Amino acid sequence: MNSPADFAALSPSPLGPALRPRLPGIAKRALRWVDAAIAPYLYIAPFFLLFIGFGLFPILYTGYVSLTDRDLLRPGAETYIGLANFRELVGDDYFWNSVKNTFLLMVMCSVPQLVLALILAHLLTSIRRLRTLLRMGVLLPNVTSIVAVALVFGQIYSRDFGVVNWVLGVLGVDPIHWQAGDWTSRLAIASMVVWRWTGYNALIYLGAMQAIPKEQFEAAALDRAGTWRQLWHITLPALRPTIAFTALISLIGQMQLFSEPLLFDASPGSVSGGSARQFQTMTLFMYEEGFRLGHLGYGAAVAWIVLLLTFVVAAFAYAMTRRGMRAAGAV
Amino acid sequence: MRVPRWHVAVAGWLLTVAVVFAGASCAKSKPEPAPDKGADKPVQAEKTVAGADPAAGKTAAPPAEKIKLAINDFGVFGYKPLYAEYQQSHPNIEIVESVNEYNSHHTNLINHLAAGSGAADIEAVDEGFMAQLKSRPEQFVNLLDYGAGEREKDYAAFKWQASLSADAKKQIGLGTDVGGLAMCYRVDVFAKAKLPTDPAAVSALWPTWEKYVETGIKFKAAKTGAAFFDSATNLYNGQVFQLDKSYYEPGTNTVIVDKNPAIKAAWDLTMKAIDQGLSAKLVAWQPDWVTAFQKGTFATITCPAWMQGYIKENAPGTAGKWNIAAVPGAAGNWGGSWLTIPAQSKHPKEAYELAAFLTAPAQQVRVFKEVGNFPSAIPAMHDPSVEGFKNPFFNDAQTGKIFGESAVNLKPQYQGEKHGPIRKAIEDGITRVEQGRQKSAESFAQAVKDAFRAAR
Repeated sequence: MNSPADFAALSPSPLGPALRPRLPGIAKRALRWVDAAIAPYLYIAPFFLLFIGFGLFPILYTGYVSLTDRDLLRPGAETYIGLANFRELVGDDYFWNSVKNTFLLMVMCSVPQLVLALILAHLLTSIRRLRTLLRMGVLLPNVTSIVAVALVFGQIYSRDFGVVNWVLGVLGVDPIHWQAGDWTSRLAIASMVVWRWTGYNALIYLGAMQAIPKEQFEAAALDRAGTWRQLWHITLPALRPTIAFTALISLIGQMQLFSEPLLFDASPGSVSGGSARQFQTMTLFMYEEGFRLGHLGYGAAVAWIVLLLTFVVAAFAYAMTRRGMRAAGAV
Repeated sequence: MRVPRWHVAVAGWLLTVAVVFAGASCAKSKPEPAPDKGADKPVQAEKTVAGADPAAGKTAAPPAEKIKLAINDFGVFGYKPLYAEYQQSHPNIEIVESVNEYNSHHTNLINHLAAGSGAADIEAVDEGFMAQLKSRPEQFVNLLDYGAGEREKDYAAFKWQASLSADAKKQIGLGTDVGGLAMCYRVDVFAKAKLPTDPAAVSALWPTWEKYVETGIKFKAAKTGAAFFDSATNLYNGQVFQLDKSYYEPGTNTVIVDKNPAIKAAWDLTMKAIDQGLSAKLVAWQPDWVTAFQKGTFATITCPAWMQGYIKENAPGTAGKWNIAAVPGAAGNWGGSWLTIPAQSKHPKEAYELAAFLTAPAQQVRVFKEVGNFPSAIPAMHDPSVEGFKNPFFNDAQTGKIFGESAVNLKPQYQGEKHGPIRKAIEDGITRVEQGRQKSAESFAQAVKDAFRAAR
């Protein structure tokens, strides 16, 4: 099914059988040619047209804007300044601070999220009662409105009246101002992301786990391997491609971490990620420059660097995927 | 899972590009379709016929075209009863109000202006965003073209000038309210600290901000368990909003945040108060801060007129526990709004007429009595029912008198284009010290650097 001709041979003509006999030979041949050579492209055209309109064009236009000095509220009055925005960006401490925060948060969000998802999925396979309910239940955090999530977590991590500080107080620990610290704030944000996405990944793992032949587990059980040994020696190797896929998605997602740090910030509407920018991510920095300070050109330059860094991360993750799959004998 | 390698590769890259594009497109402003005035005409025509407006039928008024005016604002403007009245006298006008949260409202407005569509016919603008928006007067209808010039005499000078373009040729907004300054305090906590509780006696405690901090030190010594004030940024802002020049050299776009001794003085006094442990170290507008109002964990708060409504709304259980004294230092203004008409409005004339009605002195008096927003129009300020008004929530504090004096004596503060972001940079600096992240000198140096960065 690789060439259009094969495709046409297999698929029925869109004109239907009733029309066929009445058409003269040439028209028939022309239609068949259209069907074979053009129709496949028409079928996939909607995706590409939408992608060009809403994907490629904004990316390229953002690229153009990044080469200009442009004010948010003076559309049309931009001046072309070449790569000056990018030169400024390279020497901008606050930009590199946001890159550092993004990558720190990426690790702090992705690793626990995937490990917990794996454990959760493993537990879910062995559950007999209320199966569907529990499986659907783990997805609930993911469909909850992010604003509601941030609101609840804001109260959980509240300095004076929050649950976490209350528990710590019972244990004799002084209250922590979660938003104020470097690591406390990042930890709180990571917990928000982990809570939201663990169930989603667990469901993907669960799906992949169902595809592992039961005989392997039965054989392992005969050899007296416990459930956690089975997880380590059978499930994990079989799940490698799936783990690589979820890792890729998760890493790319964290590159664009925006809502959680935005809503976690103590002062409403602040986009600086804390009083000392301790949790300002790249996308928050882009938003601050472009939309708060009105430096649209500079913000666009940040957006392009985010794009390039995302390619780098994706390429890295892809390379890891291939290595993992080769090791697992999948390729 | 035997998938051809190239499939995985292509899928991976497409996914990457798609996800990134999703991010990039978020960065672009998303213009919402402008309210389509034409499309719903037939429906409205029906309404006019069916609508209970016998006067329109009799007086053979010009066959008025049904016009829908959209108005976007934030918080509580208290206009609901006024809309009903206006629609009664103008049967061809239909008013649709959309209320949003403070920050989202202004961010939406700026994005809609940048996109060229999506803004309402009337957009409320707060003082915090006015300096930035009036530096782009071409984005708004010049209200002087519609006869706003005759309203100048109504307004306190600083209110009129704050929304006037730099060349004084374009007026983009009609003032609604002003945020004259006062000091709200907890009577019960003051009594516990054996401080006077009568407003006149309390006002006498702090003719200046230095005396205010000294009172705080005495208060602290009484060990009531409450902090003296909520947040150091509010102490700082109270001082700075009284200055006639703050972050910009008046009339220019020159940032003087590093050279203005008054800014440094306000900073230093704020630092002294933090060192003395007078602050509850709350971050203003944050949920903990709101809860603290209810629990009474601080004794005083810098109180612009609109803060009254805020306290009442968030801590209704504290009725009768508050009173209002004079603010230390001179008169000052913090906040207050204008009604503007974006240039993209399709009905600027009708929008102006409505805005003029809503901001007329008589209506400002009504809003003050219903909601508490203090009038910006001088005739409204001097209205006997305003001057004599007492707020029952605050132990019958004479709010009409307190905020009226503050508003009449005011000298306008010049605010440059990036006044808001500069203020945010300094506030972050204060918060860093309050949170123990930095020492005063280090934090001030960074705050000044950040201020210039924000203004660039």
